[in-house]
Amino acid sequence: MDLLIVTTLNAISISTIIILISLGLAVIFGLRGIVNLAHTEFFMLGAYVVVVSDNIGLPVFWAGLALSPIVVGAIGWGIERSLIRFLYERPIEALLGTWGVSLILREGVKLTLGPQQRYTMQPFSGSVAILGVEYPIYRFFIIFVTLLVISGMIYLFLRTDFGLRTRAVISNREMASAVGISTSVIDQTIFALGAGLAGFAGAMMSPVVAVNPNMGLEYFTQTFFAVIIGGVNNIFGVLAGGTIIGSGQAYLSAAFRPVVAQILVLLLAILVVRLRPQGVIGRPS
Amino acid sequence: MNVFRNASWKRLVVTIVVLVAFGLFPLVFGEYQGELMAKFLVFGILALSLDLIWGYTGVINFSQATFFGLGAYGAALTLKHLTVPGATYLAILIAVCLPMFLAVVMGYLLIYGKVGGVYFAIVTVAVGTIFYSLSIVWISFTGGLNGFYGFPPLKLGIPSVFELTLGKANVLNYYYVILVASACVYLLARRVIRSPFGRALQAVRANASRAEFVGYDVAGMKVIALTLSAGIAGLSGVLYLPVGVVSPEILGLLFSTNVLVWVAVGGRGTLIGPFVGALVVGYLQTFLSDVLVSVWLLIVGVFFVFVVLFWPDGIVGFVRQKVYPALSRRLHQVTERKPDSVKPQVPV
Repeated sequence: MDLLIVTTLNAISISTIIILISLGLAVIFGLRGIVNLAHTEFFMLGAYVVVVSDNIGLPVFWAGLALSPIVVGAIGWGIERSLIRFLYERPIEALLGTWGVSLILREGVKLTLGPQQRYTMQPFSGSVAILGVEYPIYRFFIIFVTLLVISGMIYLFLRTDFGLRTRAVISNREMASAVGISTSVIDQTIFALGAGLAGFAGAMMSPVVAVNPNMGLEYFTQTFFAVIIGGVNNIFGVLAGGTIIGSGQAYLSAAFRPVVAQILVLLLAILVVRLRPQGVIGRPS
Repeated sequence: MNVFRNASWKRLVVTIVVLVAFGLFPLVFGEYQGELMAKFLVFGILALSLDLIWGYTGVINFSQATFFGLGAYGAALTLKHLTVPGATYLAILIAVCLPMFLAVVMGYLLIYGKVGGVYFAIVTVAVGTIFYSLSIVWISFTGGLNGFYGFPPLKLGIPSVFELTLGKANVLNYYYVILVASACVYLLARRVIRSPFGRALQAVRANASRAEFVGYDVAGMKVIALTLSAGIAGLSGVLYLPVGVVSPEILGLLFSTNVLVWVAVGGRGTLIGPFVGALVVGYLQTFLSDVLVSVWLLIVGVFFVFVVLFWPDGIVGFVRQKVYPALSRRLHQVTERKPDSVKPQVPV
C-alpha cells in the first residue's frame, strides 16, 4: 500500500516534468513539422544555469530557478535564428542538424564546465506525511509548480490572443499569414518559450538529480515519445502522452530493475505508436 | 587524350588504379595501417548499408548500428557455442539473418503501420536504446559492459583441407578478405540500385505519393530495402570481429550517429560516398584523437550542422558538381585549343 502511494506520487512527479519538457517540442512540431532533437539539451542547460549561478554566489537556488527560463529561452531563440529556421522546409534534414546541435551543446558544456556530476542544494529539506507515507517536501513543490506552469501554458494557448494566433498558424499557415499574423514571430516566440520551459524543468529537477552533461539524454526517448504518442495537433495530447510515459516509467520501475523498466516503457511506446500513429488524442487523418 | 574522352575507359583505368592501390596498401604502409584501413573499410560497408535506405529511399534510421551490433554479437556467440568445423559459415548466416529478421519486424510494425518520416526516426532511436540496454543487463549472455570475449576466430575455406584464419593477428588475411567483401558489397549495391527495383526505390524517394499512384507498393519496397540494408549491416558486423571489440558500444546511439556522419559527409545517394565518408572521417578521428580527444564529438556535431546547411551532397556530391566539371572543362580547353590562339586565362 505504501509502495503504491509512493509510486503514484513518483508517477505524477515524473509525468509533470516530462510534460513540461515536451510542451515546447510538441507545439513547434505542430507549427512547423520539425522535431528538434536538441530539445532535451535545453533541460540540461536549465540545470546548469542553477549550478553556475550557485558558483558565482547568487542567492543560491531561487536566482538560478528564475534565471533558467530566460537564459535557456535566449539560447533557444539564438539557435532558432541561426540554424532551425533554415530547416523548416526539410524535416528529415532538420533531424540531422538538430542532432548536431545536441552534440555541440552537450560537448560544449562538457568542455567548459567539466564532465563530472554536480549537485545543487535543495531549498527545502524534510518531508511530509501523506496517507501514512513520508514524501520529500521538495518533490511536492516540484509537482505543485510544474502543474501551475502547465495550467498557465494551457491558459496561454487556449484563452489568450497570442494562443489564438498560434493556433491559427498551426491550422493554416498561409491563411494566418494572409490575415496579418507574423508567422515568423510566432515561430520564434514559441521556440524560445519551449526552450525556456524545458530549461525551467531542468532547473526544478537540478536538486534531485545528478547534474551532468548527459542528463538530457536520460529524458530523450521519454520526451519524444510523449510527443508522438500524444499527437501534435492538440495541447491535451502532450498531457496524455507525458502521463502515459511518466506513469509507465514510475509503476514499472517499482516492479522491475530500472533498465528493464526502461526497455518495457519503450516497447509499450512503440506499440502505442503502431496502434495509434495519429496520437492517442488525435483523430485519424 | 582521346582515351580519356571515353567514359568507360576512364572508369576502368580508375577502378584498376584504386584496386591496385588498396591491394598494395598494407604491404607498403605496414600492418598497423593495414589494420586501420581494414576497420575503415568495414565501416564503409556499414555506411553503404545505411545509404541504401537513407540515400535511396529517404528513410532515416538512427539505429543502423543495432543491425551491425546484432551481426557482430550473433556471429561471436555462434562461434563460441558451436565449435564444429565450418562454424564460420553458420556464424555469417546468423549474422546476416538476425538483423534482417529485426528489419522485417520493424518494417512490418512501423512502415506498414504508416509510421514514417520523423516518427520512424524517433522509434529507431528507441529500438537502438532497447538493444543497447539489453546487451548491458544480460551479462551472462553478452558479457555486459566489458564486451564479449573468448570466441574462436573466423575461419574461411574448406575445413581440414585449407583454412584461412581471420584472427586479430592475421592482419593480411583479414585485410584482403575485407577488401574483397567491400568490392562485392559495392557491386551488389550497384546491381540493386541499377535494377528496375532500384529505380523504383529512387522514385519513392523523389515522390512517394506519385510512386504509389503509379502502382508501386511503396511500403513493401521500403521494407525490402530496409531488410537488405540490415543484412549488409549484419555482414559488416561479422567482418568487424577481427578488427574490433564486441561491446555494447557498437549497438548504441552514439555509434549509429557515427554511421550517419560517414554517410552525410561522404555523400548521400551515391555508392562510393559512404566509403569516402568512412575513410575521411575515420582518418580525421584517428589523427585528431592524438591531439584533442575531448573535442571529437563536438566536431561530429559541427559536421552535422555544416553538412545540413552548406553541403547536402557531401564530398562526392561536391566533387561531382563542382570539381569534376571544372576539371573536365580545363581538360577540354587544353585539348581543343589551337596552338596560335591563346586565350587570356580567366582567374577561377
